Order: sequence, then structure tokens, then C-alpha cells
Amino acid sequence: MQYKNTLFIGKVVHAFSALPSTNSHAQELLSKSTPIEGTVITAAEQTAGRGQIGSRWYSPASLCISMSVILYPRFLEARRQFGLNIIAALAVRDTVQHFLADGPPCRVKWPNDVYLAGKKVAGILIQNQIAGRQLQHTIIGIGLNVNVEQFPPALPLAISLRQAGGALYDLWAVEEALGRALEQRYLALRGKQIASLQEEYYENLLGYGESCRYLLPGGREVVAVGKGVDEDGRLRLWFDGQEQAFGLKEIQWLPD
Amino acid sequence: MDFKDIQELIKLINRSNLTDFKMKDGEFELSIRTNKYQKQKPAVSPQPTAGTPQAAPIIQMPPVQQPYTPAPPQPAPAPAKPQAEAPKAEAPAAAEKGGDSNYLEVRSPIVGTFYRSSSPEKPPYAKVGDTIEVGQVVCIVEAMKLFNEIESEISGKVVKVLVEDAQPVEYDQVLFLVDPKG
Repeated sequence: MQYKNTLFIGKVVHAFSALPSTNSHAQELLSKSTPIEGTVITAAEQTAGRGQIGSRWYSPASLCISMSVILYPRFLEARRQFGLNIIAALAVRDTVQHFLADGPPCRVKWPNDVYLAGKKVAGILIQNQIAGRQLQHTIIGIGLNVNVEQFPPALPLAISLRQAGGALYDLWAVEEALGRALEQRYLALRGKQIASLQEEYYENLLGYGESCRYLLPGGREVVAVGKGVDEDGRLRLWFDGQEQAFGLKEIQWLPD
Repeated sequence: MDFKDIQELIKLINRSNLTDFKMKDGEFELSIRTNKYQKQKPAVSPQPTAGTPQAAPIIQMPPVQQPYTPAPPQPAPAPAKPQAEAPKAEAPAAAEKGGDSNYLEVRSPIVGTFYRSSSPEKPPYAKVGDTIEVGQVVCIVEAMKLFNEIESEISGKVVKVLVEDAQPVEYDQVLFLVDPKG
């Protein structure tokens, strides 16, 4: 079982009915061997899918895509790794748009969540290994909500393709399209097209060039205009007549 | 005055000609002394591990500016107040020892948040007293939801962990001190 219409992503696919986490499995593979670039690990169900450190990702059996892709972006300086967030988010967006051509606009929420109609349709978790200044390997983990009919009440801000498009989707077709989109975006990054990738990321970035409310460190609430990201991936915001950049834990976006 | 302010202050002092700086603000007292104009022998820098011919960016061999040393008794009178450690002080106090007791540094390759283990319930990758090998993961630095395992490029014994778990780190900030002879 391998993806068609790709050059290297998904030529080897390790598909499991259940795994604690596809990213953890990829890490295990990497610790024991050197899987070929583009190796994909999927699980119909993740029993301990990882969100951010300490949090979990909801992925019920056969309704979502949980996939991890192993890549070796040794061309990328560790400091420029935000490019990985950009390509992963754009690839997910490409895929969602492909299946929901007439659906609501699909946007990216900094740094790498993908939103549909104001709700989260996909989460991305990227794990790198760094030696010196270079990236050694990366595991791009993507959780995409496909055929979930209804999320538990604890997840009011989640949405699936099915909920947005009113149809059931062939999981394999969605997975393959995602692999293909990721490959194209990755090749663009490798081809040093970061400027155009970033531009596209901005075009689809929630709050870019718009005034939104944010909670600053210390509890102050401001209305600020999103100006994109700086070279370290921090969110650049314009307020009080000047621009400031914030890390993930320093700022909270307040929805309207 | 918080940690960031102190860092800023140290940077400023390093760029200046000051060799001594003291300030007092209520209860808070700070005394910084640089030995940048002290005469010293050139430090003998141990070579980095084979296979890393260029200056390794994360794990650096003690550069000539090596502030972290086992603090041998200094000829200069010690300041009464705790001495702030300048991340890039100009002159090593340990030069007198010929550099053979210098520690190596593990530095952050990116701006982010430092984690000592892969999850809160897991033990730290490396703690004081542990011997680490080349290629061993010593910590995680998370940056904008990108989780980075930082590989060691040197081997030795961890003598100090300079950053608390879950604290922000700057680019090139020293994270660990490693004794290559440990």
C-alpha cells in the first residue's frame, strides 16, 4: 500500500489499526533505524495522540486521519524551522480546500492550526532533532478531522470535513491527497521558495492585516494588527504605535 | 528587576568599559564584576569532538570567553555580593588553570521553551552527574509548536543545568555545562 502521484512521501506506509501515537512510533523507528525519507505512519485510532506537551488529541477510530511523515530537511537551518509549520499548515489547507471546494474558507491560525468556519479541523505536531545548527530529521504529525459526525461537548471548537461538507469522505483518498500536498510544499521549501510560501501562509493567516483582540503577558488586553511572523516564528503584532513579536506562551488570541 | 533585565544589564556592561558595577534598589542589591582587563595566559581550548571541524554551534567548546569555570580562588578580591555570571564575559577567570578544567557548553540553537523531559511524567533526559554521549538527546526546546530534541555533540559529565524546566530560552543561551573529563 503506497501513495500514487508522489515522488517519495508515502512510498512506504506503516498503517496500524491503533497506536498510542503515530509520532511516537515514528520516533521509535528513527531511534532504531534510518527509515527512507517520506516514510508514513498512520493509525486508524490513536489512543494517546499528542497535542502540546501534556495534552491529547481526539482521534476516534477510522473517522480521522492520524499520520506522521518522516523527513530529513538537512537543508534547513534549525533557526529557520518555522518553514516546517508553514508547509504543513499549507498542505493541510490545500487538502481541505480540495475536498471542500465550495465549502467555507479554510484558514491557518498561528502557528499551525487549521481552521474551518471558525473551528479547528486539523492539528499539527512537528518533532525535530537538531545537531549543531542543522535539523537532522523531522516528524510531521497531522491530525485531520474527516468523518466525525459529532465531537464530544468538551471539544466545542472542533469541526470535521463531514460537518462542513455534509458528506462522507474516503479516508484513503484524503490521506493520499494530504501526502501529495505535503510533498509539493516540502519540495518548494527545499527549492528555497520560502518567500512565496510565507506569502501564501500570510494570505491565509487568521488576523493577518486585521485588527483582533489579544491578551498580553501581564493580562492587558489589546486590539492589534497581525503583521506576520518574525524569523523565529513569533507572531508580530502592531499596537500602541509599534510592532512587537510574541512567542506562543506569551500571547493569547481572543476570538470575537 | 527580573531575569531578563539582568541579562540586558550584563550585555550592556559587557559592551562598555566598566569592570565593576553595583546597584541597590530597596532590598535588591546587584554587583557585577568583569575581569575583562585582567592579564591572562591564552586559554588552551580542548578540541571539539572529531567530526565537527567547524565551531559547533550548540555545544561549544569553551571559547576564549569562557565564563563558566570551576571558580578557582581568584587573585582578585571576591566581591561581597554574589557575582552575576555574564553569558559572554570577555575574559575567563580559569585561564590561570590552563583551561584543563574548563567546562563545555550546550547552547540553545533556537528561541523557545526549554524542557528537560519529553513529558511531565518522564524523567529528565540529563541531570547533574549524568554522563552524556555524542548524539544523545539532552533536552527539548519547543518553538511555536515545533518540538526539538537537542543532540549533544560532546561527551562528558553534566555539572550544571542552567535553565529551569519550562522556562523560555534565547538563541545561543547556555543550557548545560558539561565536564569533558567527567
